[in-house]
Amino acid sequence: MGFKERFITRQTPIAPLVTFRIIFGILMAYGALRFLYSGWVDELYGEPTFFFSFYGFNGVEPLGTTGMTLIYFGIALTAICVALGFLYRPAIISFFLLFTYSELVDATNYLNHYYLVVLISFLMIFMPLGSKFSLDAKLFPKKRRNTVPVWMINILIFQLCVVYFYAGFAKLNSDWLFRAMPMAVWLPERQDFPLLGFFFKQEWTAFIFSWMGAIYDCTIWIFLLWKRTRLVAYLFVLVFHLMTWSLFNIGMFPLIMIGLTPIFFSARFHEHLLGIFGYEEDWNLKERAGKSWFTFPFLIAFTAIQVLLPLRYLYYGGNVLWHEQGYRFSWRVMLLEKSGTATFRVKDPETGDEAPIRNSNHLTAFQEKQMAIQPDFILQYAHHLHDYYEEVHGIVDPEIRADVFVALNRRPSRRFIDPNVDLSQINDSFAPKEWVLPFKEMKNGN
Amino acid sequence: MRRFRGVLFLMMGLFFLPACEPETTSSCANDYDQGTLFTRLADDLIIPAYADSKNEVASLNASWTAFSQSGTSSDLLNVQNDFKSAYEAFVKVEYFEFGPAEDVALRTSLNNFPANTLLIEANISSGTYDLEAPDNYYAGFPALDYLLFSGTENEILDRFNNANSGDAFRTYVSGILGIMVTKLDAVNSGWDSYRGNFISNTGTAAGTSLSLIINALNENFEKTKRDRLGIPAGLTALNAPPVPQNVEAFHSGHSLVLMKESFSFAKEFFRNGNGEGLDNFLDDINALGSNGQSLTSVINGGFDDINSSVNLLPEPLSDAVINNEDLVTQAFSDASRQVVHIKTDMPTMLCVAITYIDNPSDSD
Repeated sequence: MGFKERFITRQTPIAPLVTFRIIFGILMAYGALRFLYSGWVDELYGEPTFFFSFYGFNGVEPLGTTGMTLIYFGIALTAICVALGFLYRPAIISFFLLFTYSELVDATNYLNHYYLVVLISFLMIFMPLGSKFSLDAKLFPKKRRNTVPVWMINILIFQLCVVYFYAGFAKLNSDWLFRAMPMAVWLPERQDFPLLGFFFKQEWTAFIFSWMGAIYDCTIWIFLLWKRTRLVAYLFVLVFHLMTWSLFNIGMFPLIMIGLTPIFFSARFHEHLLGIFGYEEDWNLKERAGKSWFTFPFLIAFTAIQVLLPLRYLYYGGNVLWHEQGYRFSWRVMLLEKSGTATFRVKDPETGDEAPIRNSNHLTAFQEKQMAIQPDFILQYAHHLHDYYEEVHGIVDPEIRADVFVALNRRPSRRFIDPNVDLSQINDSFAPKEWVLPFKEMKNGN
Repeated sequence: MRRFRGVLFLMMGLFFLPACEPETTSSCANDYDQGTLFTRLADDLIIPAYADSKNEVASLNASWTAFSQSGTSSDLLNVQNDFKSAYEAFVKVEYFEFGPAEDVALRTSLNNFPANTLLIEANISSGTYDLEAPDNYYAGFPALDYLLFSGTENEILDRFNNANSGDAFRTYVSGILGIMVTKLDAVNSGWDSYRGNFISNTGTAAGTSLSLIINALNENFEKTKRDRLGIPAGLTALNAPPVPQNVEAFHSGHSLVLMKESFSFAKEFFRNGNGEGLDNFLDDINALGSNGQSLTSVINGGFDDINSSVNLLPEPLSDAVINNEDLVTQAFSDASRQVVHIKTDMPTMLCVAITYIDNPSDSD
């Protein structure tokens, strides 16, 4: 059996993907309803008057509180359809579009696990997951199938391995390993934690957490891949994520990792598991050899992007924790204790008058907090201020400069942005941002 | 086995490396005694300041009662003098807007300025108003400032003694003072029970006493910088002239005293006088400022810069914002520089978050 057949085209039982589909759907529905229930739709889409965008997506506009509420109900509804396998393809396509749209509206809210959901739901569009143990299979018996090409399972396993590997790789920086940052700031906050609180007050606990976390992320995917250690590794997955879930405010991420990691287990395991709920093989079905010229190049492109995208920080040099160029979409989780003070100044070139801007007139407190530490947001905000003073105050081509000071991982603050640069004259691009001042205390951010 | 031992030593070496680094700031898990700090702050600074504010308002209320019965100009002078000292005492306690003060919204109930004088007049002539409406600009010290000081002495006396309308004005002032007395009483007695909670609420998480005082200090400091100085000086708007009538206490002309008091009390709060204060906490953990010197010296220096530049301003502030643009701008930029030290560096070193910027969703 060649590589291509063994890892891509070979038919394999669909059971692992059935479990995956059901858990993913339930988790996503729960996430969307939790989002609605917490009142975040209004806080994150209703209150802001200005929205930050991802590079290249600045045309994506929000729909207001009512519209976004409907979007989130749509996400919950399509997620339930995915879990039930009801009209699976339309449901997963709609889910992907709705979810991705909601994430593109305001980049302030970027979280790595939201990006993971976008990627996984995108992959699931290409998988016939409604064809077994689903309402679709009941309604449309002709579409039933027992098997899928093995790449459908492997690409999801690959994706989870990438998440773990790069999350671990990012932790191999001097702040994480030798200063236990930011664990040494976050753990003492939890000194009232039942039983363990005393330990969180100890400095060495932060070091143990940091090293264990780094070793876990760097290696857990290997032990999950290896059949003999898989079960033990999954117990580690459970313990690790339940711990981070109870200690830190990281929302859905631990649940998603706990819920999706069973994809590493064998088809037999999943058949037994689903068997409890009445899952059985349809012996009279023929295997389908759904071959497509599209599959191979698609998989090559997808995996290449996933491997290379997190490495783009190398192109920018300097310290990625500081300048955050190449920070997103790279599985850099829980690495930063970073805060900043950003005071923007608007200048009328005609009169020469200059005035500081009150950020709360333009941004929510949460947006301001995120903006003050991320250069691309600083630039977008400067352009917004430029346009605002041009349109509302009638000033011809106002100049926008900023005094930004940022404290990274419990170091004294440093000036972040060149205060002499008129930010309104700079257009964002993938080129290195020369107006972000270098950070000398810690050269290698990895 | 030998190779394994080598790896083990290497790991241990890496593990203990931080101990050898020249960096000296203690970890967030330090053994500084926060309980003592909070006890000293509560007993030596916060509770006495509230008691003082309460007493000052009580004597203002008493002298007002005397004046509203006599209507004499000497009694009016007593009211005016008591008003000024009560106002001075109040700008100090504005720094403690958490716990009992937050419960009664003390600061926004008693000192939203500038007063909306048209609305005050309309209220009084209509006789229907709610002096306790949240975020109103027609009650508290600013309304008293207008009613007790605007116009000539005879105009003021006539305002309250006038046979037709005097009664309505007197009722309005009495209503305002009644609320001030009630709220300050509530905060004073609130601290009796809150004190123990305040002292024992140690740690660095959101909602701990450390995070409350640092947030309260910053919030009020920025308010002083913006509302007492920046806005009336026209420094916060582009191509805008100064707006002298927007100073605090415009009618009594007491603005500069109050602003100086507020800025200098920020340092007093930080240092808790000569007692155990945030400065001692920062020194205890060897907190460094961005110039490599101790953060305490950076912050003290920043406060001293502000105090000396506001001391250069001539009375009254409402004229200074027009005639002394350079001095006003200097004071404003000194205060702006200090924000970085107390709002970014100090919380970073003390391991608390500025929580009035709260994270609404998850983080990762």
